[in-house]
Amino acid sequence: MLKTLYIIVFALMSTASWGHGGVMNEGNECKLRVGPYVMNFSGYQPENNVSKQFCDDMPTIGKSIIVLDFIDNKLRDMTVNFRVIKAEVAALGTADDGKVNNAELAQTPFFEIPAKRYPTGTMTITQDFKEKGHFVGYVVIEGENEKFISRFPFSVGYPNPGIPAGLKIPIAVFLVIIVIMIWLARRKPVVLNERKED
Amino acid sequence: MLNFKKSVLMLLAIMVGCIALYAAPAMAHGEKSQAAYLRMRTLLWYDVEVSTTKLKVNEELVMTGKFYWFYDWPSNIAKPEVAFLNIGIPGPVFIRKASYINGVSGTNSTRFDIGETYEFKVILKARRAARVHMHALMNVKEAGPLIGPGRWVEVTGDMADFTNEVTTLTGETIDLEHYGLVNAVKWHIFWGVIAAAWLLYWIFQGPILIPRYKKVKLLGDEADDMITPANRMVGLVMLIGTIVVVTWSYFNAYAQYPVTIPLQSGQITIPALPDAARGVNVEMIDARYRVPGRALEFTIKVTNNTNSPIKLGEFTSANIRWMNPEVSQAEPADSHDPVASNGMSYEGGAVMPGQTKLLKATCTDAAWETYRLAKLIYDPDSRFGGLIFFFDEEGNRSVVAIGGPLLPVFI
Ligand SMILES: [Cu+2]
Repeated sequence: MLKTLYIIVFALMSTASWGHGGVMNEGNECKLRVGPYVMNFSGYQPENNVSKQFCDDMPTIGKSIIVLDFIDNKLRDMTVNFRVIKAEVAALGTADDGKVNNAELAQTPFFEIPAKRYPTGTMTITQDFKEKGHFVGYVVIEGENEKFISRFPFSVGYPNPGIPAGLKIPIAVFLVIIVIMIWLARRKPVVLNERKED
Repeated sequence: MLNFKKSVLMLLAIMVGCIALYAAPAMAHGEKSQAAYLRMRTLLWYDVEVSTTKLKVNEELVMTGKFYWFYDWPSNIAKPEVAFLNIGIPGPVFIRKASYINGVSGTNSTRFDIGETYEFKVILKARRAARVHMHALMNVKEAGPLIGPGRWVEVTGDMADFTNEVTTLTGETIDLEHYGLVNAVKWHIFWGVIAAAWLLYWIFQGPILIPRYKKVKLLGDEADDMITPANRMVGLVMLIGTIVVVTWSYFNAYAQYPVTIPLQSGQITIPALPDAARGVNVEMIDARYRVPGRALEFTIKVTNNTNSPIKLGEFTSANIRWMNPEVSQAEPADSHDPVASNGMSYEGGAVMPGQTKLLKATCTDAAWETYRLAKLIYDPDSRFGGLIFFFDEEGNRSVVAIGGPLLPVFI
């Protein structure tokens, strides 16, 4: 009984948002922020996990599909450029992940989808990742007189790197509570009725 | 035992805390939060329009439209045996002056038939300044609200100028905005004071709460002695006083307002509109959802029993519209109106009178994902539903409901 409750608490905590740079996992939705605009980010690996959806990190190598769905309709009138650059290191899990690096942007990308308008509000990127590695994704959107860039590091083919940063504090609090509960459970029950029963 | 209860309570407290701290930000007001099958296979709204999107306090707005009760109603959702048409707005920005379903007054709850179409009209009067996302809304008993398309509406002006005048049966003109308000406040204060006095009196009669509980346990059968004859007298005075006041107020109100009618709570059945398909028969052959690409692809067998060639112009479901601009054009009414102006295309061309033909349609838009309709493919019963609109050369429309199992494809 108590165990089930703990699991429920845990499940609720896992809705906390966490992310790498421009990509945020909010509840059950993975969002990509580009300036003031928001897109839904979905990753698929149809050959390995047919219907499972991933948020930025791809668990295995192989054919991968990334789909960006525009939540803000204004994005349909703007051009979107998507590029992926090879990186040395994995996502740091800090605010630096989202910082645009101009030197990096100037590099020849690992692959790129040139700027184009997507009037149906959805953009599909298909890529075969032949070997595992760390990458940096860039999404550049350009409208009539505005331009925004979003950066998000991601990895392909690496197992889950442990506890996500955003969950560390809730888990710590949770463990402290378990300790308190064990302590409470070991205390002698309080006797309410002062009258002794014979 | 006590510790177990304590543990559970504590866990509950933690859970509440966690939800408060970590809950993902809520979406607008429910447009996307209802399950996809519920939005696609219950009530399908179309032709919904508002007479104006900018108005002043005291001005009227009329919302009109049609709704179709989907033929393949989900078995776990209550059928519309008792339903009430309303308008969903956050807060009392408008008052409803009148509502009509197929021309019949919608004051009462109504029973509707599955598989039938009805039209509605709701007249609202602006009450206070606000900018609201307004939806037509059908409350179905035991099923909950089934939401229609939303429109942004802005009301300007001062609420102090608002009046809601009606003429009563006896010919008197009253303003419902303030009518009887003073009286209601007076009675609330009167009973509030009495209740507070009663509570206060008992707080000073010996121990209260846990100490009192302990004392009662300790005294056992003699616990009744804790209540003194004076306590009993106060209780009796209170009881008689309450009955006298209630009786007097009843007769007083009756003398003041001799002519009244009770609140109307009857139920009516409204006949449906004639079949909107107008002789067009459609059979679903197969339907797939292309996950990367965000497209619904369906093949239908269409039989045209009208005497004019017809073309496919629109697919609509869950208040989202996919338009085939070669046949029918529509633009979003505002920033939050999901209309894919160029979202639909099909192969097969026109269906001639008397002909039966296969048509293959594709409905593409990010809305499948952003409005969470594609979540359907993760359901144990992945059936979808919607309405397709055919147009003949004179612009006559045939509305046909389609639905069936939906298979996801990745390539
Ligand atoms: Cu709304």
